[in-house]
Amino acid sequence: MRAVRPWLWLLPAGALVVPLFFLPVAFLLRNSVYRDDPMRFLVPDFTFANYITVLTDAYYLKVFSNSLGLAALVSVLALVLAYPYAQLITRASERMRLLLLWMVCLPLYVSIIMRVFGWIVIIGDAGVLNQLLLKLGLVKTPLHIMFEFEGMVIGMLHRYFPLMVLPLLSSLQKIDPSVLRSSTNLGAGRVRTWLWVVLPLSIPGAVAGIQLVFAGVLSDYVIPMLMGSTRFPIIAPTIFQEASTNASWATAGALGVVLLALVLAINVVANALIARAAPWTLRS
Amino acid sequence: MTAENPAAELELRDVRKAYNGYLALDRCSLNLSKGEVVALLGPSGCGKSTLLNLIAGFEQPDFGNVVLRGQVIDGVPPHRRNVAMVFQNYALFPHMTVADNIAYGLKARRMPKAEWRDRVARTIGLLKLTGLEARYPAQLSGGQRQRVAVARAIVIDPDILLLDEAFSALDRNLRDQTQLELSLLLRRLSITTVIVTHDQQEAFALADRIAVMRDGRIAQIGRPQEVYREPSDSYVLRFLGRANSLPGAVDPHGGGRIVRIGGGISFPPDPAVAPSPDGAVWVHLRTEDITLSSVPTAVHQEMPARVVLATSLGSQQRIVLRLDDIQIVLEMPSSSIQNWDCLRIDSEVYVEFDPRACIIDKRESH
Repeated sequence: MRAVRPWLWLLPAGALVVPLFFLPVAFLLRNSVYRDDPMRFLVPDFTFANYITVLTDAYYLKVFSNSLGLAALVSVLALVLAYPYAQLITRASERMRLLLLWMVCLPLYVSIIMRVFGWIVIIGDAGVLNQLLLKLGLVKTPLHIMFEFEGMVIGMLHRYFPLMVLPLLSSLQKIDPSVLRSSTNLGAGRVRTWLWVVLPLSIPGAVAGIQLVFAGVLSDYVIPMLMGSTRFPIIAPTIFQEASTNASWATAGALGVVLLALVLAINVVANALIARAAPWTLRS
Repeated sequence: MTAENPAAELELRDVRKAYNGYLALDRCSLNLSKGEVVALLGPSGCGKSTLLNLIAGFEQPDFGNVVLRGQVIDGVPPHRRNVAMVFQNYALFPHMTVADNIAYGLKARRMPKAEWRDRVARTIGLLKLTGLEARYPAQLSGGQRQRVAVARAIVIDPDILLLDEAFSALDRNLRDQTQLELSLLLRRLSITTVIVTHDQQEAFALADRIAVMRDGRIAQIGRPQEVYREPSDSYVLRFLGRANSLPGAVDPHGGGRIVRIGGGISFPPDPAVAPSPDGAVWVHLRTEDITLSSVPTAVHQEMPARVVLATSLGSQQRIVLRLDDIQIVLEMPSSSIQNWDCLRIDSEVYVEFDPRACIIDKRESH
C-alpha cells in the first residue's frame, strides 16, 4: 500500500485555521503598521508610530496596567479558591466527585450572556443579595457591585474558574496515594505532607491554570462590557472602542498585537516558572 | 533469636480486622524480638497486607492490640510511630532528588541539618547510592529506586521496618542479589523487620521465621526449615514448594492402615487415616520427595507408571509420570540421576517415597 502523503492530514484543520485564524492575525499585523487618517480611514504605510503611541500614552498604559493587575488578581483568587475545591474532588466519593465536577463545568454549557443576566439578578442594585442585606439591616443603601470593578472580578472568576480547577485537579489526581502514605509513614503530619508533597507536585497544574485564566482575563471582552465599569478600562473593550467608535484601525491593530505579545510572554514566563519550580518534570 | 524471648519488640495480640463484613484478619497473634526478621507469606487476600497496615498505623484493629516495646500503640497516628515502610512501588517522592528523598524522614523529625546531612551521607554509602544523590527518581533504574526506598526507611532508625512486596518489581537475578544484600544489612544493623510477600523464595531468603497465612489467620509459624519440612497441613505444604495432590482411597478392609493410589501404589499412611464411609482422600506429596526405580519398590509393586515427559530445569530434572489416569510430577537433582534410560518417554518405572512425607486429607468424591 502506498503511503498517503502525511501533510494531507493537515488539510481539514488547516482549512479552518488558516482563513479563520492566521489570516485575521496577518491583517491585524498589517493594520498595526498602517496609518490612521481621519479623512481616508486606513492608509497603507510602514510605521511604528502606532506602537509608540500605545506604549507611551498615559491612557493606554493605564489600560495595560489595569488589565495586567486584573488578570493577576483573578488568577490569584481563582487559584486560592480552586485548591480546596480540587482537593475536595480528589477525596470525594465517586458520585460526589462527578457532581462536583459537573458543577464546575456547568457554566461552560451556558451562554455567557445568560450567566451575566443571572449575576444581575443576584448582585444587581435591586438584586437578591442587596434585598437580603437591606432587609437584614446590614446596609442602608444597596451595594454597587454590578457594573463596577467588583462585578467584573466576580464575572471573570465565574467564567474562568473551570480553567483553573481542571488542570489543577488533573495534577492532584496524578499524585500516587502511596506517596502520601509514605510521607505520613516517614513522620510528616497532614500539614507538612501537604506543603512538602501535595503542593510541589501540583505546581504544573497550578501554572497551567494560571496561564489559562491570566490569558483569558487579559483578552476578555464580554465580561468587562456587560459587568464592568468604564472607570476601569481594560484592553479588549478599548480595542473595540478604537476600531468602531474612533475608527482608528491602526491603533486598534497595534493594541491587538501588544495584547498578543503579552499573552505569548505569559506563556514563556510560565514555562520558565515550571522549569524552575518543578525541575523534575523536565527530566526523564 | 527465638519467639520465646520475653522482651518482645513488637507484639500483635489477637488482632482482628473486618472491611464491610469481610474478615480480613481473624485473631492473629505474633511476637517479634529485637532484630528478628519475620516474613508473612500467603496468597493475595490472605490478610498479610492488612497486618502490615495495622503495624504502620494506616489501619486500626477492630479488636486486639498492636504493642511496640510494651506500649499499646493503637490510636497512635502513622506519623507518630517510628515504623518505616518500603512500599511495593517504592512510593518515592518524584519531585525530590535521591538525597532529599532519603532526608525526608529526618527533616520531618526536625533533626538539625548538620546531623541529618551526616546520616543521609552514611546511608547513601551503605546502600551504594553514591553519585546518584542529585538524581530524581525518574532518572533511576528499578534496582536503584528500590535501594532509595530502603535507604529512606532505614535512615530514620525505625523501631520496625516493614517491607511490602518490596522485591516484586525487580527481575530475577537482581532480586536474588538485592535480597542477599538486604538480608546482610538487616542483620548488621539488627533491624526488627516484617516482610510481606507471596514469593516463598523471598521469605526463605530473608526471614528468621516464616508465618504462612491463610484466610486472615496464621496457618503456621516457625523457622523456614521447620515450616518447610514439617508443614502443619496440606495448605502449608502446597504453598511452600511444589506438590502433587493425588486422588487416593483408604482400603476398606485395612482399618485405615492402607492407602491406595491408582492401580499400583499402596502404602501404610503415617499417621493412620481415620476410616470414612467412602474412604476417598487426597495424598499431598512434594515433587522432590518422590524418587524413581526400574524395579518394584516398597510402596509401588503392581502396575508400573509410564514416563510421559522429562524436562531439565537446569540443576533439577522434572519428570511427569502417568499411572492409570493419575499424573505424578517429580523433581530430582540432575546430578543424582544414574540411570537416564528409565527417563525415556514411555519407559516403565516405579515410584518410591517415604509415607511420612505425605499429608492426607479427606476428599469429597462425586
